[in-house]
Amino acid sequence: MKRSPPSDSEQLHMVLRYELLKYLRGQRLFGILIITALIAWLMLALPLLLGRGYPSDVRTFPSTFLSFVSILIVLSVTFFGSDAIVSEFQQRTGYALFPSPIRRRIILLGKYVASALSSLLVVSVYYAIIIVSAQAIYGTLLDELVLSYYLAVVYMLSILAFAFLLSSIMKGTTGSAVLTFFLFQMILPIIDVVLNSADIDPWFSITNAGSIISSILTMPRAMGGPGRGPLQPTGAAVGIPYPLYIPEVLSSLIVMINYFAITLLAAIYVFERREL
Amino acid sequence: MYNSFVALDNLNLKVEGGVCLGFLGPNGAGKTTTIKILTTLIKPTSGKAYLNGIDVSSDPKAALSDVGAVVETPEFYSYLTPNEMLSYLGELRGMASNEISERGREVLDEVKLTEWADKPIGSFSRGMKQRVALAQALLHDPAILILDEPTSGLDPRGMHEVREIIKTLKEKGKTVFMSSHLLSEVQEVCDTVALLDRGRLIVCDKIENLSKISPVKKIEVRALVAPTDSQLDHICRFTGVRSVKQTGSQVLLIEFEGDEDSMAELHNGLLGLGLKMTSFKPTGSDLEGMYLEIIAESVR
Repeated sequence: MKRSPPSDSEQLHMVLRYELLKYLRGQRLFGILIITALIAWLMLALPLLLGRGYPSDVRTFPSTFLSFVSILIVLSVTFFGSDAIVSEFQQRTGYALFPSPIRRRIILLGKYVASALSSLLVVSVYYAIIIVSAQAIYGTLLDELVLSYYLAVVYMLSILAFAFLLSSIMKGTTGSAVLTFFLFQMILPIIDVVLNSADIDPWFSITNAGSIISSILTMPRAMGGPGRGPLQPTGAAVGIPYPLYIPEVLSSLIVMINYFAITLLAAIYVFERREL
Repeated sequence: MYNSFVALDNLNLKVEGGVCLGFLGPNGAGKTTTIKILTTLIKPTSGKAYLNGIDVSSDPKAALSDVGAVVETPEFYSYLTPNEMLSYLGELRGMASNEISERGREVLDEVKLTEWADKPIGSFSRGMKQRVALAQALLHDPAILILDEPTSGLDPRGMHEVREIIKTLKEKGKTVFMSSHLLSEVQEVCDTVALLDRGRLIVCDKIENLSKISPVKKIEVRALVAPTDSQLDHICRFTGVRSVKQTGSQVLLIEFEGDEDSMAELHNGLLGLGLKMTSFKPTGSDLEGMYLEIIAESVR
């Protein structure tokens, strides 16, 4: 019986729903939320268990938490995004989905939104724990913490788009997951360090831009100090024997948004041309 | 074209509505490539493919809207049940939820998966997944069905059931484009055959016309007692008999050229020789002779 397929936006919503169902049934969402809760619990409980108590400075408390946001985002992106596209090819599920009257870009965008929503939940839960704990312990809420949350969301969206590009290119789900995790957790951060040590500002690096999430509380320059430039080493106190380029909020945002747009478009381009 | 390998060479094939076409060819002939192009899984390096008159490359959404397809043996999301998978694919095709439930029940019943409708597909065998694949292709009652070896992975009963489903589709006036390695299957369910070899279309015609290409039939004769040399000699001299081979002590394979009347005469002749026949039956399909003959010519 001849019938018109739903609009692209309706189909996107359908793909999104079934992708979220995958995360729920596959217990990925549950798993990453457990990890999130575990990290937060360790952060809150360890100082008390070790008898050291919480820091007296209201800035130091959340900065300890924020140092783990990046790894949580990378984990989340690896859990939800790294196999989103490649699995359709490797596991042959594309043979059922692709001959349906739906554009490939809609499939990709539906999966992207589902991954983004799941990762957003993880990031939001983590920040909620930080904010509630900071309020309970210090009775105050830092504006930078809220700004850090927004930046974390933008960072998550941009590396998720990057992960989708990798997923569109890679041949296997395991390779895609391993590459996604190590790229954002090790390879790019190492490149940032090497560039810094060579006195080159890695302003264009996505992980360097993402470091704004935590540096916003610990490095005042990040909040609009006197323009871009290296932060001079403070010797043993910092432990870094070379100038350290600290990104600023605006430049970081621009870099992250560019990564988001370019890698997502590239992922769509590759996915639409990939043959099964 | 894959790198420098030409998978399809100027293939020009038009299938009229309501036709059940068997798409035949040896391994590597380009059958699956053709089906993948039609279902947008791959893009041709040149040329166009149309479904319902719509170019599949430029408007895949419209082109595939009234098409059901089974390509290779697809996998399904292991966390979904057949009912949920049909809901997903039905929704993508614009079916209403009550229509999906109703048709879902019907097609799952048709492919004999009713009792598995709410079990996760992850636990299914290959044959059961093939049944789910067929169910999703039938779900929206499409006008065109593209089936890539639809009985692959099925047990003999499953194969028979699928053939019956395809026959019903043919009776309903659906257009069926079906690739298969099983010539007897194609002969049983299709009315037209397209034969492909090394990417080129060798022939496309009705089966009744193609059968005339190779008039030689093979007849297997079984007897209670092994035929004597004298009887064998007589058989060779019957009209239409091209050769006689003794494939077992009591089994003969006769290559025969002739119509039904001549075959009846041969039958009577064998009885007249005193051969105590227990069976007299043509073996292999008419299509098989045609297929082998044409492919052999194509290789030459």
